[in-house]
Amino acid sequence: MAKVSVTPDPFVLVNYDSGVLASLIEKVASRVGVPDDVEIAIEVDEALPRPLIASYVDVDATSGGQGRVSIWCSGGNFEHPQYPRRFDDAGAEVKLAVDLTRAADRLGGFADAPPDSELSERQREAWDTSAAGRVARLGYAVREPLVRYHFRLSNGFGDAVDAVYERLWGADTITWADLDAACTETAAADARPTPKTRPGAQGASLRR
Amino acid sequence: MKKMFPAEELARDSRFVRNKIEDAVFDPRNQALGKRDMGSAKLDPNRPAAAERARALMHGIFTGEIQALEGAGRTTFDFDETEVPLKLKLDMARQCWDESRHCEISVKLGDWMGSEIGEFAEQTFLYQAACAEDPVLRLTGVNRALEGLAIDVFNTMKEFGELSGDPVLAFCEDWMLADEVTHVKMGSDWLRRLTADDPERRERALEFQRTVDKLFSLGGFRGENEDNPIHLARRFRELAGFTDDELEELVKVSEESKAEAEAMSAAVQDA
Repeated sequence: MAKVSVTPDPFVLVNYDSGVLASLIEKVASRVGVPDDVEIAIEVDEALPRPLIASYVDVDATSGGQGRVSIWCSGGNFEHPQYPRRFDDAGAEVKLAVDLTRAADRLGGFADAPPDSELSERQREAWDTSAAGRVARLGYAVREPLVRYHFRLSNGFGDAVDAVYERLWGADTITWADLDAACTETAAADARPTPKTRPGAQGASLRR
Repeated sequence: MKKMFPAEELARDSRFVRNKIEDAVFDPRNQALGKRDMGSAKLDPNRPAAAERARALMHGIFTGEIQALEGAGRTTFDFDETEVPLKLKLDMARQCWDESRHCEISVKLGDWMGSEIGEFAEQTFLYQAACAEDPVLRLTGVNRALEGLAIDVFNTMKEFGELSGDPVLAFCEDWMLADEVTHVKMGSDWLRRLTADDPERRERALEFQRTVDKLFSLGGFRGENEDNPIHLARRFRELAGFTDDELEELVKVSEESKAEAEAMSAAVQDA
């Protein structure tokens, strides 16, 4: 089972329990394929509520060679949408499953992917779409229309972009090169006058 | 049927959860956030978490439409024809029809954006503002203040749809915006007619409108700066009967509301 560390411990602005979060991460990491001997460190910025949702998932090199998963995320990621400051168990599980699937990707065929802070929003949402599709097929309660809306907002509204979405959602194996090519495809089909290309848009102004 | 129906008894199914505005005002995270440079608060597709901001706002619009329907519906029923002209009640009935359509559009827009009915908590202070015992206060509190806010919100969402290239959102918001201009105009026209010989009553009604406007500025939610997620739609408000002086006053009310909310939050944290 992965060794997990949670910051902060304890939470003071929201009613989250670091131990509960750590246990959830251990359980989900194992299910989505993060190797047991990988360390996972998560830092939650508890001051950032819904709807300020952002996260970064990266892998740091370690002396052992396996790497260490480093996650930064806003507290809003785990917040119950109906009850402010309350931990949303079901929502957190799905969110972690997607993030940890991307962590597992980074440990595998995505070694050449840029760090999350350098991904364009187009790339980030495309990667999230691919991870969410795989997570859904593992049995997690992913809300597919929500994933689709996020993808469209960053990649464009149109049939050609939707076709790329379907491909990403349905792919069981994918590499960074596949994903980057998919984004080149959506960029070409994106008719918007000012496509979203700003790097790090997922959380550039949210992460301290 | 009960007249002057209380907000606590509004019918909702188990998908809906209500919370209070105080929960948001006294949230301990506010002070921590207030110390950070969060950049522009304007709803913009190029801002971080734009999709979630838009979804949350859209759900707020949806519950607002339900309450606007309930409020206009109550005005057709709560007063007899010695208190309000039948033609005013017919205008309110027409507004009910519009609000019903807006509810349906909002549900479909929620589906389009991946949201679920009741996903976010509902606050009922919109309906509460529609419960005044004097029908003229409802014209200012609901038709001029709240439907005026709806003009600002729909215009902001329409711009968001246009900027993000979302044809469905931009189209739907544009159509709903047109209805809201009509609702505000109804309020302006009826206020003038019903208080033509009673300036004191008109002033009371306008004072109530100022109170509601301040409440719905929600600590800087609406205004004309980058700090304000919702921007004042001056042109559409002019079409709905707002004067330049009234628009300037609205900007001032928004600034006051923001300053008071910040002071209140700081006082709570210091206590």
